Amino acid sequence: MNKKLLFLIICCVFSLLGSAAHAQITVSGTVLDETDFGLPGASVQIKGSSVGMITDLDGKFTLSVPSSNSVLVVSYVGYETQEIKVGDKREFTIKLNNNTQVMDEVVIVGFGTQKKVNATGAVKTIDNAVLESRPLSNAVQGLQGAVAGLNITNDQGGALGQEMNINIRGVGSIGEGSVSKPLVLIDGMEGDLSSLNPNDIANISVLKDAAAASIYGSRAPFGVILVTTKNGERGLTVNYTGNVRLSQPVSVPEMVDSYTYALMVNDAFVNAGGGAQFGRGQLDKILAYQRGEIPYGIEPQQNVDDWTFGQMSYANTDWYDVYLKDFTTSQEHNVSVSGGKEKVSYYFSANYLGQTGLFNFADEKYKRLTLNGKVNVKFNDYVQFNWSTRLVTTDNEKPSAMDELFFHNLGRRYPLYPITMPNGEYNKDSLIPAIKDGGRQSQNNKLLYNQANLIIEPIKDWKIHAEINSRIESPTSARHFAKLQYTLPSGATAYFPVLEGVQDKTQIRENGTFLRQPAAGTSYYERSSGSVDYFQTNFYTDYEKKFNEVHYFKALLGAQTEYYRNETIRVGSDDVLLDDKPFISAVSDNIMVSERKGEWANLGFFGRVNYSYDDRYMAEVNLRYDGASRFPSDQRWALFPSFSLGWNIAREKFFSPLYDAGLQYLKLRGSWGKLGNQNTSSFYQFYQRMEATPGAVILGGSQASVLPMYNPYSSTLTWEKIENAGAGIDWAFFNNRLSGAFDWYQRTTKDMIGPARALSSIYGASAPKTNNAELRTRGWEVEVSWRDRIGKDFSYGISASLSDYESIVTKYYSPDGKLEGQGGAEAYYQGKKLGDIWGYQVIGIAKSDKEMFDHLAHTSQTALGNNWGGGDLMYRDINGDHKVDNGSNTITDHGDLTVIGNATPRFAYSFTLEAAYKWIDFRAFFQGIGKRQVFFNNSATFFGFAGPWQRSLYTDHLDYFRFAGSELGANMDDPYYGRLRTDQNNIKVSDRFLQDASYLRLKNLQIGFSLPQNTKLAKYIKKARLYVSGENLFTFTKLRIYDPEALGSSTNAYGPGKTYPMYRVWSVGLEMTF
Amino acid sequence: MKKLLIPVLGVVLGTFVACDDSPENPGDFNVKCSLEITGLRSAAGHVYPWEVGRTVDSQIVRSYIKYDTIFSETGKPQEITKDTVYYASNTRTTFHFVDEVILENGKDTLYVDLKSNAKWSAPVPELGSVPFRWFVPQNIAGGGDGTITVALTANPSSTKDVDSEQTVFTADSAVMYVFKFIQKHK
Repeated sequence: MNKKLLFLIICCVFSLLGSAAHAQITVSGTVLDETDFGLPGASVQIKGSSVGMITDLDGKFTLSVPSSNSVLVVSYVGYETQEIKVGDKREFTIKLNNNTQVMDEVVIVGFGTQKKVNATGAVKTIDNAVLESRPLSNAVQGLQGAVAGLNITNDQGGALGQEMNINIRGVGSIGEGSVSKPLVLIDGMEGDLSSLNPNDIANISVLKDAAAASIYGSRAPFGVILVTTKNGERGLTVNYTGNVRLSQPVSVPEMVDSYTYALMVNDAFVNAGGGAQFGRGQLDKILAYQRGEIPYGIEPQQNVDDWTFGQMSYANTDWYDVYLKDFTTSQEHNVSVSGGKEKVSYYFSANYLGQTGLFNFADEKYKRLTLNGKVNVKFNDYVQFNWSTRLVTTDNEKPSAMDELFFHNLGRRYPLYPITMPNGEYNKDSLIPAIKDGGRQSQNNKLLYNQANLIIEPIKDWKIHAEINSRIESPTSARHFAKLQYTLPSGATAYFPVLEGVQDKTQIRENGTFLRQPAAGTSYYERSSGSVDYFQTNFYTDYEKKFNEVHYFKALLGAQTEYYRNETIRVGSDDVLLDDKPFISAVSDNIMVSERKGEWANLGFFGRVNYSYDDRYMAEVNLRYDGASRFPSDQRWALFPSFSLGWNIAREKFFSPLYDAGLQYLKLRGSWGKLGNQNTSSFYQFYQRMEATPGAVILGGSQASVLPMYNPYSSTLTWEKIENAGAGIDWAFFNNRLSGAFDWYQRTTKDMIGPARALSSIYGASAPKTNNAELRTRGWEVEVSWRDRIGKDFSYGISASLSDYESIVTKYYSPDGKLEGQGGAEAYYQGKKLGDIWGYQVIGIAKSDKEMFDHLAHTSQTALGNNWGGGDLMYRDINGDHKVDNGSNTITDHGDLTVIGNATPRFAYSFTLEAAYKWIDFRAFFQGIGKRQVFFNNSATFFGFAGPWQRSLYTDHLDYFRFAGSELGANMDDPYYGRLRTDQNNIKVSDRFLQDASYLRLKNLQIGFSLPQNTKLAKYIKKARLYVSGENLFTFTKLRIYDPEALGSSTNAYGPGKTYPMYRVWSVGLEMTF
Repeated sequence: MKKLLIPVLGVVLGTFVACDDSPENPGDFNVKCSLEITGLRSAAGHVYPWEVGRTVDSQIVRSYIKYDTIFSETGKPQEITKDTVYYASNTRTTFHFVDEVILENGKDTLYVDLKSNAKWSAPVPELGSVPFRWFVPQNIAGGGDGTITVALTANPSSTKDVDSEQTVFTADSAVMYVFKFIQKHK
């Protein structure tokens, strides 16, 4: 062949090939959603390249592809990704299906993830939507009502930095010195959920039963809360979220005016057989002040250089109006930067929360600053490294006088007290000088979390994890009491104490710490500084494999170590040199010092095996072998097994007709497990302790410290053991539009620490505590959810949850069966249902002396009080012995006491309504307690009077029995309270005043407006949303006077009902993503 | 922005404040005090007839001690004065004067039954001209329906009767009964 011709042919061939290589095919089409509407914003990419585009408003696209072999990858959030080969087609209509298949949902479990269909334990995973756009103080507050069985309660109102009570499936232990809180792990390390920035949370998983939690062993006997924070994603995203909040106190009692107050006090004293406190002259003076005829509510005393404090004053002040603001402001700002490429991704965030309190004069402040950084590096296909650092600083500052005593005293303020004196000073009885100038207390903490995680995948599906986690805390606190003075009528000055009613108190506690409350005219300053070091390592490996498309197998094996150490040093001294800038000085008086430190360590080995056949039959076995330093050396180690089974009935052939009808997922599961509890409140309870205390011995002219003989201890003291058994059913129907779960469980806590049999008195000491008590909790939970979309623009969802539990003491050594412990503390006995309230039954209020005397003729009430008459309560003689009393106040002889109610919050429920239409979204979240009774024992704030000087008179208390002729009007027909008395005849624990503390609360309501995609701004801003959100907006309850979440504590020294008010919050916020 | 948002939110909050209910005093000021003596009987089995002889309507005069502080020019307290102030109150009272009730001689217990919707008082009577206290109420106050129990000591005189004036009145003094009891001599 002619060489030239051959060369020409070769050139033509290459030319054609070259042309073919560079020839682009133009393809176009429309991406549709499941309703056949165009889907704007869907991604259309060429597989294996970064070339692609986003569909327009009508879902249309046009793209140049290299060849017919190119594959288009079409994806959109919430829809199944599709891959389509170009082939000969140039025009495409691609319909995406809603990715609602529950088969792909994942739940976070201990040391890994599981597909929801394969999970056999009781696990619930929620994303951060429940926390978004809410004016929350912390993440714990946002989780209230979000997960069935996760009980988050608050009885302490809304103080800044308030911690809430958390338990999973009820109280787990009554063992003395035990703690039954769930373990909280943030990215695998124990952390404080209340200090975590809610905006950093990606999802939260609650592991409720032993099968789910046993992998964590003895640190997690009462469940685990796993929090996963956000990671970086591909591309660069900058996000700002901020809101401004207004908080307003709710359920604030209304005090009666001063004249009414005086008449009520007179009634109470006279009704108890005493004399009226306010004579006619004083009453008229009070009226004259109310009419503005007298300028001051106080005057100098006769013959004494002092003012007419106390009941001699005659002003008219509503102290809640004086102290509580109408509203207070707070703000929160959050910025995050997230991005990355194939090898590296990062997430950085900064969050600031600044809150102010509800009280005037107090200048309360709470600030939280969080800095968070996460970097994920993929070195290659085998090695990956993650690093995260989080710094949290919290500052909580308030007056030193603002303690439990303040709320007790606030309710007791007489309306007779004026706010200011004739000389312009604040009245010392107002407590304002103490709050404003009496000194400040502050609590600060810095928490630094560091986590490093190395993942090696030598071969596909086999991973080796090495994690090192550390947490360093630096808590500090300070408390200062300043000297306070007031001016006497003569112009001289006198000191008064910062804490009303506390003259001079110094207490050295058993644990070596001290409490100091100085006398009037003495300043005091104390400072404490602590450190916490927590170090944890996790080494584990897992391997998963699917054989023959039906056999799924996963094995996990690992070891964990933990070390914890804390130390606190506290120093205090009297007579500080500078009240404005207090400091501890060597020349100060009465220097007190204490130091506390402790440490513990754990070592655990764990393993888990999962097997699943055809996503139809599942089994899981967990084993954990734990050693804890807290127990004696021969009791340290224990083995904790658990297993669980599951059956996805919907995958069975016989279920096919129902499956085709839409019942696509129905799984039965059951589990059993055993865990140990090492979470004692004292680190080393079994150690004998000899506490140095001041003795009754003088050596060398000063009081000597003595070391008393230690009490005997039990050498067999060991772990509490918790056995969990449960069964559940999960379902998801109609493409996961209708989904839910039901669980039943029983948890038995064995070997709880309780009192042992008494020793002979000859021994000379009390018997040590031992593991001899048992508690059983039974409960159930149900969750249901429906979500759907109508058309292209409207989507909605409804979800609800309900749970309940009861706990009974099944074993407890209580030979006398006392119903009440020392000082009114709760007492336990075998068969006791936790929360039971014992009380009397009331027949009614006697309308006259005759009615009462006729009642007393056959039923004596002398055990309950004297001077009975018309207007008093007639109690029922239940046991027919013609007298009303409490017998010997034991379970075997309880006289006329019966169980009148139960204080355990029952039937916790929540429901959420949400909807979105185009650029508007709406969400309403309701939460409540279905059943709960409380009794405000000896509470002046509930009854008005609980003693001659324990009075808190509100307008609610005016509904008490009064005869005709009373200056406050007759109230004989159907009063709520008996006649007011300074004694306790009419305020015994009884069914009449048992309160229904159930409630339904609109916990969160939010309306959001998002920037539509078809605006010009949408080119520059990926997402913008303006929202209005409210928290605690409405509460429906029958509870009198109090908010159901501000009940106070029955163990509070000053009684229930004395706590910081609850509040509702409105906020306006903005979210922007660039 | 914060300065604009806060007033807006304040208006919204104010709406919620207006919706909060505060309890009111359920007292009924229209109910008048009533007191009615329904019977006189004794532990020894006597039932004494009685009758209201005359009824008088009147007005209560009250008094109180008033203290006042006189301040000097420099504002320091100089003198404290004390005055008794009398004033006519708004309370009208009805006196029921009961005809003399003659009691049998001897130690006994007298029961005065009454019906009322108010607190009432029955103070211990003054001795008067009688040298010893023979008529001693055991309960000097009560509320609503009730009974005044009176311990009677026997009149030792064989020539002279003894008497005692007992009042029973409602707490606001709107209704008052005045009894004159006479115990016969031996």
